[in-house]
Amino acid sequence: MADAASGSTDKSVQVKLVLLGEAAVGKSSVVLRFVSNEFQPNKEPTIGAAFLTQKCRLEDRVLRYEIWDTAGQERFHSLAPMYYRNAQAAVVVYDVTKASSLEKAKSWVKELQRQANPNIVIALAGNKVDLVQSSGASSAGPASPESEDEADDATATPGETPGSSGTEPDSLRQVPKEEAQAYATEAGLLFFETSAKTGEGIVDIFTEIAKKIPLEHILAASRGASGRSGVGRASGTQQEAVNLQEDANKPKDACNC
Amino acid sequence: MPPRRTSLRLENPIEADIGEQSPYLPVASAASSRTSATTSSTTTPIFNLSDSTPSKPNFPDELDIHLTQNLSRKLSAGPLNSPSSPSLATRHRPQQLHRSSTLPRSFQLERAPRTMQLELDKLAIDQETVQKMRRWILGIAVVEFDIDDGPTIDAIFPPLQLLPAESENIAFSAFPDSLQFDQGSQCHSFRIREQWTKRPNEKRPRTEDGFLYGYSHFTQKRDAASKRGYQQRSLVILTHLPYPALFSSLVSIFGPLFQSHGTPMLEAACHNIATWRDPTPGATLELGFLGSVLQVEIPHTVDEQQLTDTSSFNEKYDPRLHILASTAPMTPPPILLFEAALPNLWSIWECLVLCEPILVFGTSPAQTSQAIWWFRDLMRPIPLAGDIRPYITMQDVDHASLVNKLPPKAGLLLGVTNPFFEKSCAHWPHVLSLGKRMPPSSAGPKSASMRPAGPAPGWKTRTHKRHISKDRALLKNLEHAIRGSELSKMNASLLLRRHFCSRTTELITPLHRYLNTLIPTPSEVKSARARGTTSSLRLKPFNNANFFASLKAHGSTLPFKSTSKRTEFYERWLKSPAFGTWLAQQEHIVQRVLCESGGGDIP
Repeated sequence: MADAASGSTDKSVQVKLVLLGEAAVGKSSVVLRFVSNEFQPNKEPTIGAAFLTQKCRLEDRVLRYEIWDTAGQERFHSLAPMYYRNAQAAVVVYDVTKASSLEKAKSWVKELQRQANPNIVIALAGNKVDLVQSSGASSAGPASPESEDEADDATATPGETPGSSGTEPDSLRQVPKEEAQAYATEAGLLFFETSAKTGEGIVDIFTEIAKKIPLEHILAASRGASGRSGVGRASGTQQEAVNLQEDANKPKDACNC
Repeated sequence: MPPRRTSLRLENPIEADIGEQSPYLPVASAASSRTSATTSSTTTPIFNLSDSTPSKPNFPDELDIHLTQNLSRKLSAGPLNSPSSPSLATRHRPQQLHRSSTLPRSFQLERAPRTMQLELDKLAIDQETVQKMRRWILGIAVVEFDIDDGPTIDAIFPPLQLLPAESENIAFSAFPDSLQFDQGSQCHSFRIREQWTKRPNEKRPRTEDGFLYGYSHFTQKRDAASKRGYQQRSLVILTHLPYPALFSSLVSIFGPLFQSHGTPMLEAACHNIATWRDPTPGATLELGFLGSVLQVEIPHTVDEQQLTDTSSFNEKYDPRLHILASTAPMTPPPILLFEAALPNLWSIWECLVLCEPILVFGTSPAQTSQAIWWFRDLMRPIPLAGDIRPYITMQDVDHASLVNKLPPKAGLLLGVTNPFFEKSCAHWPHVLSLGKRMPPSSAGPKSASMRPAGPAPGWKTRTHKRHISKDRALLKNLEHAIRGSELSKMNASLLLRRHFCSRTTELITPLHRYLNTLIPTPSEVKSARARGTTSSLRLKPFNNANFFASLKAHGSTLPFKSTSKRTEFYERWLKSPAFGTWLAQQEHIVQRVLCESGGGDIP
C-alpha cells in the first residue's frame, strides 16, 4: 500500500465494482474483509450504498477498485442501476445457508446481463461458508446477541446461534456447491464460496476479477476521456490503511495491496 | 418601498396558459393534490385565488412575480413571453374555470399536512448519522408549488428546525421566478440570511457566517394528475458551506435521481454523505456519491484563491473531473454569461474589487448564481466585504433592506431575474445583464416577443471610469473562443479566471509590501520579549501617506493607464470596506503569529 499512500498512481486502472445480493447475505462484510481485513459480526444494514476503495497489484499492473456496496433491502432495489451503471465488475453474493438468496442472486445476474455494461465481469459468491464447514464450525462460535426487532433490517445470520454450530454444520447448507457452480458455469460467471468471517475466498474473488477484466481496454478508454486514474486521492484515508499481505490465504499472484 | 408579500397568489394568466396546454387540468385528482386529498369535507379542488379575493388589492401587478412575471410584464409593458415557450403566454384561460371566486373563503384557510413530510417522518435515521452528515450539509428540502401558497417546503430531511420566515425564504429562493421552459430542469444556488437567534441545537446547527446556502435543482414536467397540468418541484441541499462548485455538482446528480426514485434516494444520499471524511480545510478528497466519484479540493480558507495551476489533484486540472469547491460551477462555460460584456470585464473587475454594488440580471437563477459566485471568486484573496446574493427574489426577508430608495450598500452583488428589479434598482450605478446580445438585424415583431424581460444583455455603468488597461490580446482570444467549441469556451473561461485572479493578487501586492514595514522588527520583538511584553506587539498603524510613498517608490505590476490613475484607484480602494476588512484580517494574522511564536520568528 505504500504506493497508494504516496499517491503516485499514474498507471493504476480504475475499476468500478458493484456488490449486489439479498439483504443480510454479507455483502458489506465481504467488502470490509477485502478492504480492511476485518470482520464485524452484526453489521448494521447498509442504506443506499457505501463507497470504498482498494488498490491492488496484479503482476505488473496496479488497479484500484472503486467499490459500491449496495443495500440489499428491497426498498433500495430500484437504486441499483445507478451503482452498476458503467461498472466493469460485479460481485453477486448469496448465503449458502439460504436457498432463496441464490434465487435472488440469479435475478441480479439476469438484470446485470440485461442492463449493465455488456462487458461486465460478474462473480458469484456463496458467502458464510464457514457455517457449513465442520473444521470451521468451532471458529464460527456463538454469535453475539442479535437484535431481531427489525427482521427485514437486521443483518442476521441464520443458524448462527449458540449450540447450532459445531454439531451438524452441513445441515445448515441449503445451496450445494455443485448446484451453484453449475449455474455459474452456465451463466458465464466466476464462482467462489467465501467466508467474510474467516477470509476464505475473499481475495480470490477480486484477484480473478482483476485477471478477467480487460485492463488495457479500460486504461485506453479512460485515457481517451482524459481519465481520472488515481486522481485527487487523499493519502491516509481509512480504506487505504490496510495491508492485505498479511492474509495467509492470499494466492501467489493475488492482489498485492 | 413595495410591500413584502407573505404569500403568493397565482394570477389567472399563468393558470390559463398552463391549463390550456394540459387537457387534464379540470381533472380533480385526490392523489395528486394535498388540498383535495385531505380536505375531507369535500373533494372539490381548490383553484387559484382569483382577482376577487380580499388579499388581491394589496399587491400591484408588478409584484405578482412568481412564474407570472412575464405575464404581468406583458400587461404593463407590452408582449414579453417565455423565451423558451413563447406560446405559453399567448392564450387565455376559459372563464368557467374561475371557480375559486365562488368558493367559501374558509377553504383557503385549510391546510393540508405535507404528504412528503409524512413519508419522511417514517424514515429512521440515527443521531450519529445525522451529526456526521451535518459536517457537510444541514439537510435536503423538497419544495413543491402549492396552489394556495406558492412555493412551499413540502419536507425536509433529516428534520431541521427553521423559522417560518426562513422556510418561506428557502421555498421562494428555490424556485425560478420567471418561466424557464415548458419541461426541463435547472440548477441554481442562493444565499439567505439566517433568522435564527436562539442557541443552536441538535436540530439546528450553527452556521459559519450567519447565512444559509441553498443549492437547488428545479424540475418542471407535465403532470396529468396535477391541477396545474404541471409538476414543479425543487430539491434543495441546505448547508453552511459556501462551496458552490461542489454542491452544484451534488445537487445536479441528486435532483434527477430523486425525481425518479423518491425517498429511498433521499435516504441513500444522506447516509452516503455521512460516510465522507471531514471537510477539512485544505483537504483533497475523493467523494463517492450515488454511484459517482467526485474529486474535490476544499480551500484552506474562504478567501483562498483555489488556482487551477496549483490544484492538488494528481494530474492536470480538468473542469469535467475536478472540483475546486469554492469556485463557481464550471458548466456551462462561464464565459457565456459575459458574452455581451466581454470588453467590459475589466471595468466590472474594478467595480468588484472597489466594492461597487452591481445588479446582475439574468434570464434564469442558474445564470445569475453562476455569475455571482464567479465574481465572488475573482475577488479572492481580498476578503469579502459586502453582501452577495447569487439569486434573490422579492420574497426574500432582506429584500426591503437591500433594495430600496437609498443608494445600494457597498459591495452588494445581487443576482436577479425578475424584471421588477429593473425599476426598483433604476438608481443603482452598475447593471450587468448576462448572456448574449440579440443581433439587431433580427429585430422584428416576432423576435421582439422572444426577447427575455429585463435590461438588454450587456454592461451599463453610470459612474465608473476604468483605471487599468484591458488585456487586449486576451480579449481577442475570448471573442474568438466564444464562437468556438465547448472546449474552447471552457478553456477561455479558465484563462479568464486565471487572468483576473492574478490581477487581484497584483492589486494587493503593494499593500502587502507596505504592510511588511509595519510588522514589528526582530529587534523590537526581542526587546519586548526581554521585557515580557510580547502581548503588546502589534502591527503599526497603517498610514495612507506612507503607503502612497511606498507605492510611488515600488510601483505596481497592474497596467494602470497612468500614475495619477494608479493613485486615484488606490485612494478609492483605501476608502472601500474591502480595505478595512483586509487590514483587520492582516492584523489578526500578524497578531496570531506574534503571540504563537512568543515573538520569535516573524514570517
